Amino acid sequence: MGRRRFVPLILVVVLGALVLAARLFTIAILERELWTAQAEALVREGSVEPYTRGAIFDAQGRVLARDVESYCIEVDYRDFRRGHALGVVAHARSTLERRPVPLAEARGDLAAWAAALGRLSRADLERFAQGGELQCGNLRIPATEDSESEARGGRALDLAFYATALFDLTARERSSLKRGADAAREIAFTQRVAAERRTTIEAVEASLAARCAGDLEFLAGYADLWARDNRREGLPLDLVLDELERWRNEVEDGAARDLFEAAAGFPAGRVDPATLAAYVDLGWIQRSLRWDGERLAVWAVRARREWLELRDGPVLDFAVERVRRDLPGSPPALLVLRELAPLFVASSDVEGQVLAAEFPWREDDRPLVIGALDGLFTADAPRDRRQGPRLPHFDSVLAEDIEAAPGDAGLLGRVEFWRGDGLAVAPELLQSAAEGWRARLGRRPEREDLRRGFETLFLRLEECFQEDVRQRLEQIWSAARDDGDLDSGGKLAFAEARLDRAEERLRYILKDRGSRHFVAVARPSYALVNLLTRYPRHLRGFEVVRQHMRVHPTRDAEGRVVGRLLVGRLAPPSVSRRLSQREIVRQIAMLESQGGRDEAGLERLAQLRASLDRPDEKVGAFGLERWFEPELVGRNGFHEDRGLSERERSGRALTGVDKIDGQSITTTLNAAIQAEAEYCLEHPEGDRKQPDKNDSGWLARPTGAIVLLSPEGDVIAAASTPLEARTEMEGRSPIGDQVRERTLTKPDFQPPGSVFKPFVAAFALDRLNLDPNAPRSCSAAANPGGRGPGYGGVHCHETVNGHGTVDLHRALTVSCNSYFAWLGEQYDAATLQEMAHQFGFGEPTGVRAFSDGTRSGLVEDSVPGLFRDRVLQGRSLCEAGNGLSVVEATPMQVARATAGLATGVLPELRLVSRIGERELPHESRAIDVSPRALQLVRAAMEAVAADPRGSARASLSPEELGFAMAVKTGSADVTSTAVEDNRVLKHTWVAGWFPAEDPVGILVVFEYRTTQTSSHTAAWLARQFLDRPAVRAWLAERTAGR
Amino acid sequence: MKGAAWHPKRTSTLERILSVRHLRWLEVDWHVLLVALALLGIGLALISAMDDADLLWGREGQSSVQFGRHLKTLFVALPAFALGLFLRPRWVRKNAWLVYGASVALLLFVFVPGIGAERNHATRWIPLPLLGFDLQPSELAKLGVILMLAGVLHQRRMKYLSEWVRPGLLALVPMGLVALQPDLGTAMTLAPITLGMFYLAGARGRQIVGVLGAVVLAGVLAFQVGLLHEYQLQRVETWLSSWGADSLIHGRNGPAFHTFHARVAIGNGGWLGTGLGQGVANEAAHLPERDCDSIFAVAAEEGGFLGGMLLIGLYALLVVLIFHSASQVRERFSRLVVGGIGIYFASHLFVNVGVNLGLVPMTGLTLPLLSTGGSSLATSLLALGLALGLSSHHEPSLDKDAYGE
Repeated sequence: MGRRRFVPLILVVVLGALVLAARLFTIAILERELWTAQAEALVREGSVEPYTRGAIFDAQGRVLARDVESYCIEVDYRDFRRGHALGVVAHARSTLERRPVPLAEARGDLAAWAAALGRLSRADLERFAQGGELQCGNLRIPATEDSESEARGGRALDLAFYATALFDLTARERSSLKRGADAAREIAFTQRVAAERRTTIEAVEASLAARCAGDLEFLAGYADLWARDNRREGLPLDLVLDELERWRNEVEDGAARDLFEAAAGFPAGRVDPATLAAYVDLGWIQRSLRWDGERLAVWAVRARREWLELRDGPVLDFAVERVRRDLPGSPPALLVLRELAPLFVASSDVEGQVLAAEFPWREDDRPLVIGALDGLFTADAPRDRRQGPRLPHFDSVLAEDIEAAPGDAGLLGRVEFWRGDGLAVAPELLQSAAEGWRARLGRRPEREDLRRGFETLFLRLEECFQEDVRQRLEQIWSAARDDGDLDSGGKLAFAEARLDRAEERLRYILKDRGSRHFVAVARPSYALVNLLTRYPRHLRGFEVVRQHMRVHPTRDAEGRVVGRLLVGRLAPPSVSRRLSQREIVRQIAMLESQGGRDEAGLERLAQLRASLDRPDEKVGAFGLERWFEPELVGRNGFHEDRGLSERERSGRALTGVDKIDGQSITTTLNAAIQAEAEYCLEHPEGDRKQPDKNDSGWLARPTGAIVLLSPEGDVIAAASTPLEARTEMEGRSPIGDQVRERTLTKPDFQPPGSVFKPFVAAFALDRLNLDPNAPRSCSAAANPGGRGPGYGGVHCHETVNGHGTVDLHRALTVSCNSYFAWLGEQYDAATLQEMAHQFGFGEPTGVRAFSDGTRSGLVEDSVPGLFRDRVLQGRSLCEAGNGLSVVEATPMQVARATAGLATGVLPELRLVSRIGERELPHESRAIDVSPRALQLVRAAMEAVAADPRGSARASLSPEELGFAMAVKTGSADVTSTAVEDNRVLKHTWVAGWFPAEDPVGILVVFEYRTTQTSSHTAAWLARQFLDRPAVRAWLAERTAGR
Repeated sequence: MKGAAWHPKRTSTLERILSVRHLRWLEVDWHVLLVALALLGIGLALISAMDDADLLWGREGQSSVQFGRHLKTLFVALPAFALGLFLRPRWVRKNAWLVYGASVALLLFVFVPGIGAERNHATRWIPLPLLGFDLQPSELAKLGVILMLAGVLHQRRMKYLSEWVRPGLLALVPMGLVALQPDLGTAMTLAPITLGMFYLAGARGRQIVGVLGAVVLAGVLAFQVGLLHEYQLQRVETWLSSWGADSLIHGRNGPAFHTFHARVAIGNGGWLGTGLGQGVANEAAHLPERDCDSIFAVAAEEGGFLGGMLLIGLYALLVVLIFHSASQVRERFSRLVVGGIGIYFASHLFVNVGVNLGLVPMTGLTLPLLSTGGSSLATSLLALGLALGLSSHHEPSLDKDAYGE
């Protein structure tokens, strides 16, 4: 061996070092930007700054809805476990005993158990880790030969943490104890703490006992306040401990699910728990989480239940939404199969990979590829000789048929009878299923219909899928048994590398799961918040968290939100919104995985993160909250910080997007008047003068609406009833018991009746040359073939003698049907449409500002087919003249038309007058009817209340009210036969303005399905409303100085 | 002096094993010692910073990094250095088989229930509570193989392949036992030690390259045919895909977790590094085994490219100096041992740093003198002492060797 032999070796070393240097240069210098960005991402903490949603005000500046900074109480179970004496002791005890020791059990012996933990020494725990015996108080853990299977090492580390956590060590004490750890191995933790604090062991134990008692006492105090706030029955502390136990279970269940998924690659809930228990060893999960067998079994069942909830919840919701979204451009059968693929994925890895590449299955969950089961265990899997499950997407026959007829959704019927079982199914059933799918997907599918179709498929395929998984596991298990590859418990053990992977992540999983917050109290009382903020040391794990809350401070005397049906409320985002949010999440993930990003990339990432809904974010569900969502909503801010505040001063650039608050909107509503309107509707008094004429059924269960406008078209009040859901009762109509906004809608057939007559009259005077003085006879004689007074098949409500000879003024005053049946006959279809247009019937009223087809939430029935698309001739014209049968209107439309009649100008109604700083202008159009005609009708309407024979004389006369009112009553039969008290049901109306000579308010009152006429119902409701103090005050204010 | 017959001076057993007298202090390669001390110092600084970072970030009790324990292990392992330094070459040569046999026996002991400790599904350790660390016999086996090979090879010229059989088989025994634990990474470091010593003993370069080629081919075939365990297969696949930054980032939460975090740490260092204890590896603490197998990544992050280069340079210098020392040794057995120790340090450098830089598939191997781990530290100090001692002992050798020197 010559010395020269070393030269080549030295050259190899130098060469090798150069290779290493080159590689180091590549990574540290050339790729630096990329990896620095990744490094920053590892220590960055993104925080979302929630925006404040715009407020909604009434015209007087009262707040109808607004966001307020509020608090909720959240529980961080990890903090509780590591910081609260009860959590520490219960979990230390669980670690010792290898069973989940309930908090309630630990509570009983808290001080004693804590003291016993403190008396342990590091050496005790080291011996325990090596398999030695451990005596902790009166609990003795015997020595074991198999310290590994009992996870002694990990348990000893945990116990060391819990034992020291009890002492509330300062950082200096911790550091000092750590430095002297080796020298003082045999000394008990309590004694070491005593030495560190230069006190006696007894004093340290006394302070430990005091801490336990204090923590427990404060927890009991919290529980008392919590139970009081939530009006909970039972012992408060027991209830809170139950809640904590529930969260603990959730944390541990989640950790076990993550562990299983890290090892298996698919969620535990994907397999039936009985199958799992029969074939697969899950003891490692039990050991990792210090569980007993019973707890493991409970977890397996819960995991399955949660997976099924996921499948039947979000998975199904998104599947339905995606199919509906993509249906116009894609073959329907393929769309459905695409959604099934992630759940019932292929039998082999190759097919699984094809699917994984093709479909975004990761969105919902990881699929279980049956072929992947082969590589899951230490045992080698035998070759699967059976024909694999013909999962729908890979059924070649089905695939060919779908390719041949891509538009035939009926092919999905075969999927419902998947695999051999389908052969036994009667052809007619198969046909029926096929037809069902054709019907579901042949048009724009309804969500519920499509959902039912999916549910059928899910149930059917799941059954077959579980059977396949079970058979394959049995096959692998049998082979492993024959080869002696089963573990000591006779189960299939996971492959070591998979367990390594899971165990490597255990710490992160526990931290991640434990740190997720649970909302303990959504709206805590001041006392509760005060307790937690003043004594956080004794209530570790409980946190007061700031949050935005939508409040509605303007309430009526009964505490109800004023204008709730118009203002609307917030709700979690819809499925389609969540679907679009997923696209943002995908973009974020894509950008994050790209590594190196320039400033623009970082900005883009921050923008995307800011555009994500917060987990607690809500959006407008209906009403103004929904309609004005684009204006009310803001944009969350997003800022990234590094872990420690010192780091922020290091000068590294941080990205961020500032929040933008939503714009406030000011409505035209007067909350006080709105409250009065709602009160009157909820508590109607009825006919004060003729109580026997009251409709007691309606008064007991009132349904109706009140609209008050300003003559310029501002909606001052728009109230509906019922405001709260009530059980539907047989009789009138279930729709009447439903909570819905009724001023803008017509839930079912809704003729305006006689309140339509003034418009018919005014237009006829101007355009049809109606002579107002021309007499018409209202009698039985003038109605040949009829049953009493009437005309053209329309009966007059004056059923005995009729109204006799009447002119227009009289006809309006007494609301003579015969006259207006005749007058209707003077119209033809075109003139009737023209008349309706002049007064805005059948058209949107204008309350839905910015209506561009993209907004929703404020539903308005504009009734474009005003006359119900009937052929307007003969009797239909007679009915139209009386506002019956062929005519429909909403209270808001009647109110707008009445405003036009009163002023000669038809306003576009405003519900919102201002958005942010922007004033929305009044808009209107002139009514093309002569002032003379309008004046004649106005005079007649004044007589309706003033004339002794007027239909509103009893309730709305100037003497009664104190001011003159121009008004018209109306009663429109909606049933052809008597249904209650031998009477037909009718909608009753009042439409008019006040004061008659110089209107400040346009009033429409609508009662839904009453048995009495308007004179005894709607007119009295109008009277009740006009008598309300707030209305009187408003009227006085508006008329002052006139 | 009549009647006074000369008697050789009686020596005690201890004197037959250890000798201070024969050590020529002036010939001890102090350069090697200085470089080794520098590396030890760097290791101590890095681990101290990790410990501080754990305290700062509230991870005490969760992390296994403990500076105090490392310091204690170092003191426990220091006598090994002295032992190596003072061992008499003659005793070492005569008892090389003993050391080899003992290390093979220890490798077998780990499989004996009750003696060997299993962790993470590998049986590699024999607990030694009194020493404060667990003995990893595979570390000692590396030294056993070096001594055994030197004992066998110092009488061979390795000119013929037939001369390869016996030493080859002797090297394969511990390799196989280590692979059974399983610890393929350590088993793989035995291969360069064996081949390197074959080369030093006289084997031709072409033969070495041929054997290396055959080993690589066998590895590729095993990979292709699927003879590797699933986790080994996955490591190779992860390694292959980790060359591309995008695929490495994509797989960061899967099998590439360790590789990704090592790459991030190294890449985050730049030219000058983040500063001691200031790296993301210590702040986030996601990098597995950062005090042990991944300590180079931490050093490269906190010291930057220049710090990383300094470390590689120091290590390479250590190896070159050991080779230089070996080349100065006249006695063939000692020269082979010292040369083998140089290869031992070199193979650890290339495998460990190669793994961290992504040049080699992921495998767990320490960086001697820097990483924590009692067995690694004790073995590397023993090896270092042996290298220094054997190269500076002056003891006439009457043993026959292949060259009759």
